[in-house]
Order: sequence, then structure tokens, then C-alpha cells
Amino acid sequence: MRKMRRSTLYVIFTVMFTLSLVGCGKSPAEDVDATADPSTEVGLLEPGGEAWDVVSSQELSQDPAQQDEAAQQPGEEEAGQQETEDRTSDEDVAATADDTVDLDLTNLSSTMVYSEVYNMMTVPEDYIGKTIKMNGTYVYYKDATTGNEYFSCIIQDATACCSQGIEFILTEDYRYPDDYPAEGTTICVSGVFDTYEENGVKYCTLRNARLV
Amino acid sequence: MTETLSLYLAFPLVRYALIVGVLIALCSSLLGVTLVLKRFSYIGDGLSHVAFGAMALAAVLNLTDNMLLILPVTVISAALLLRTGSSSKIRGDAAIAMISVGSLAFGYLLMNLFSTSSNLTGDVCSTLFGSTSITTLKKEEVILCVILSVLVVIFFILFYNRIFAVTFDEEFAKATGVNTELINLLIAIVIAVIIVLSMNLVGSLLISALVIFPALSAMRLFQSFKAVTICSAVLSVVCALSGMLLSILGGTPVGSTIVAFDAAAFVLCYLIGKLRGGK
Repeated sequence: MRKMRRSTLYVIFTVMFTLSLVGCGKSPAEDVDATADPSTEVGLLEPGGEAWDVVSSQELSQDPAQQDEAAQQPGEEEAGQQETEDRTSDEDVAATADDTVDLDLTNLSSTMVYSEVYNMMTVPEDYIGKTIKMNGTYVYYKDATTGNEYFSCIIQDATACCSQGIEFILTEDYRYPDDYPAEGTTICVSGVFDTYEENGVKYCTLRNARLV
Repeated sequence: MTETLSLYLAFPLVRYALIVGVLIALCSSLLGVTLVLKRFSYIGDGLSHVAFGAMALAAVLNLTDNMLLILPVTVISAALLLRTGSSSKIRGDAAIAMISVGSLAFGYLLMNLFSTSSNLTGDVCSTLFGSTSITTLKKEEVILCVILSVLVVIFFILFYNRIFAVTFDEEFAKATGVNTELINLLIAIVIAVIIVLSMNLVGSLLISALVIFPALSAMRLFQSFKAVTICSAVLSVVCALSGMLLSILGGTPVGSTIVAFDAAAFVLCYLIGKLRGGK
């Protein structure tokens, strides 16, 4: 009897343990609703295109003085003195984000979305020119030094500890701030994937984007 | 469901994840039986923390291929751990605990002080729990994993009899001329390789589960070493595959989903064992 009770307790404990592990996950819907946390990242690419680094929303939300300081990455001081390149790439992307979508991230699970966006950051050349549709949290950032404005769509992984996102540039039909959503809201954006360089750092972006 | 699965399988990252996941599960289960029987269940945990420390160092040094640092450091630690375990000054569990927490603390300290990444929380979480590492593998990493897995399987097949002898009666094996120290060292090296590979799949905190659960489950059903090893391998592969598929389809964390399947398999095997009148 005592042995049986011990066995029952053992089974209950294991089941509870199993459930608690599964409970760590987040459904795609929950991921979409999640707001950007301090560890949110927007992908940057090193000039070589191999390694990638991140800019956190902590940096995005800092005051201008701190932003300036944060923008000065090690080894970037010289690059920072250079004149900022025009954010539109030399070879303008002719395609516009129409209804044809090459990669629809809205239909994928959070694990797949995070992995695919990670791939975009590490191997951007495979995605250039493709129309990407994604949904995530809208984040706005203004560089106090250059005056450039950046709009990003942030996604999280299933463990909710890692986030990354892609910057997007809406078509000229959209006027800031009237036609833009409130920061932190969930958006669905569609645009043509492209990269550009700024201060020697390669960035990924969705050009000719529109909110869906 | 089938349509979604075939859609996902069109992505190379999913195919890579399934290949690597199955291979890692197979390798970890093969030596899991030996580890459990030799009372070395916790060595995997200790070594995974060493790998975490090495990974942090690799990140700080900005190494493109962090495997080049993690693998040697973990192998050396495994060998040292085994040697220290047999010495009289610091024995078994104390040595593992010391190396385990020491490496974890050292790794986190390094990441805090010198990491160039602004997302420290994400980096640590990703390393400890695997996060989506398995679904973000590059082709070169997959090839390396396949090569190392094949080597582990070949080692296990070639040394099967000697591993068996060392697992059950080391003194007797020594008396019959088996170089037990060398076999133990080889086992430690192979374990280190498995740990490093497994970090991609389940992260450094959950590796022990991948090594121990299939072996314990198989022991509920079978008695012989061979049957337990085969059953353990099958269970491990099935659980890893099911866990990964559920994770990819449902958007749950990969590592913990696999471990959840392993735990569920253990419960099932335990109940079947009970029904069959086993221990």
C-alpha cells in the first residue's frame, strides 16, 4: 500500500514536471500580442555579412545623449565621422510589395518565424528582392544625431527570451505619425527585402512596405 | 496538419534540425545507459556547464566557429573530471559540482563583463535552454554534427564489449587485461563530444535529460544491456523527432518539448513495467 502510494506520487510528479515544461511555450497568437521587452533586437549585419549584432530597444528608448553613446560601437568611431550614407540603396528596389508574397511569415509558428528571421539576418543575400510578409510588434526609433527615423517589426522566439526584428520603410503614401500605428501595437507589414549600409554597418530592411 | 508539415519541410532549416536532432538523440542515448549504470548521470550536467563557460569565452573572443574552443575545453574537462574522480582528494560528485557551478558562474561573468551583444538575457537564455539554436543551424554545422555522430556510433560499435565490461565490473575487466583507464578516458571524450553537440538541441541545462531519460525508460522494460541500449536509442530518437515536430508546428520551445516527450515516455515505460510485474 505504501509502495503503491509512493508510485502514484512519483507518477503525479513526473506528469506535473512534463506539463510545466510544455507550459513554458507560447502560442503564435501570444507571441504576436507580446509587446517589445527591453531585450528586443533589431538585426544589424557586420560588413562581412557573416556575424551579426543587435541593437536593443533599451538603446532605442534611451535619451538622445545615451543614444549617441550607444550608437558608437567599438571600432565604429572612424565610421561615425563619415557622412551617413543615403538610406536608400544605390540600386533602388523596383519591386513593390503588392499582393504577391514570396515568404509569408504570418502563417508560420513562432519557432519557424524566429528561425527564418534569424536566417534573413545571417544570410541576407538569399532573401534580397523577395516580398516578405510578417507580423509582430511595432517599434519606432529616431537617431538624434542623423535625424533618421527607423520603423521596425519585432518578433520573439518560443522561449520569449530572444527577439529580433526587421526594419521597414513604408511607401510614400504613409505619413508619419498620422498613418503609423501606436508604438507597441501588433502590426502586419509586407515589403521587399533589401539591405543597405550605414556607417559601415549592413542593415536589413523591407522597402516599399505597406501595413496590411 | 500534413499540409503544414510539408510546408515546413520545404524549409532547409527544418530539414537540418530534424537530421541533427535525430543524430544527437541517437548518440546521447547510446552512452546514457553506461553513464546511468556507472553512477555518472550528473557528469553530463557538469560538462554542459563547462561547455557554457567555453561558449561564453568564444563569444567574448568573437570566434566565428566557437566549436573550435568549446570542443577541446569540454574534452579536457571530461578527462580531468574522470581523473579527479578517481583521486582521493576531490572525489566524484564534489568534483562535478565544483566544475559545474564554477564554469556556469565564469561563463555568465564573462558574458556580463565583455560581451559585445546588447541582448545578454537572450544570449544566456539561448545557451542555457537551446532556444531555437537547432533551427538556425548552418550547413557546415550540420556536416560537422553528422561526422561527429558517425564517429560516436563507430566508437560505440567497436568498443561495445569493452564498454560493457567497464560498465558492469571494472575490476574484473582490469584483471582480464582490459585497459580500463583508456576506455574510461575514451568514454569521457565521447561524452564531451555528445554534450557539445546536444547544446544546440536542448541547451546546456537540459542535456542531462537527453542522456538519462531514454536509458531509465528502457531499463523499466528490459533487463539485458543490449536490449536496454537498443530500446534507449529508439526511444530517444522517437522522442526527439516528436518533440521537434511538435515544437516546429506548435511554436513551443524545442529543448523543453523534447524533454517533455522523454519524461512522458519514462512515465509510459514505468507503467508498462509495473503492469508486466517488473521492478
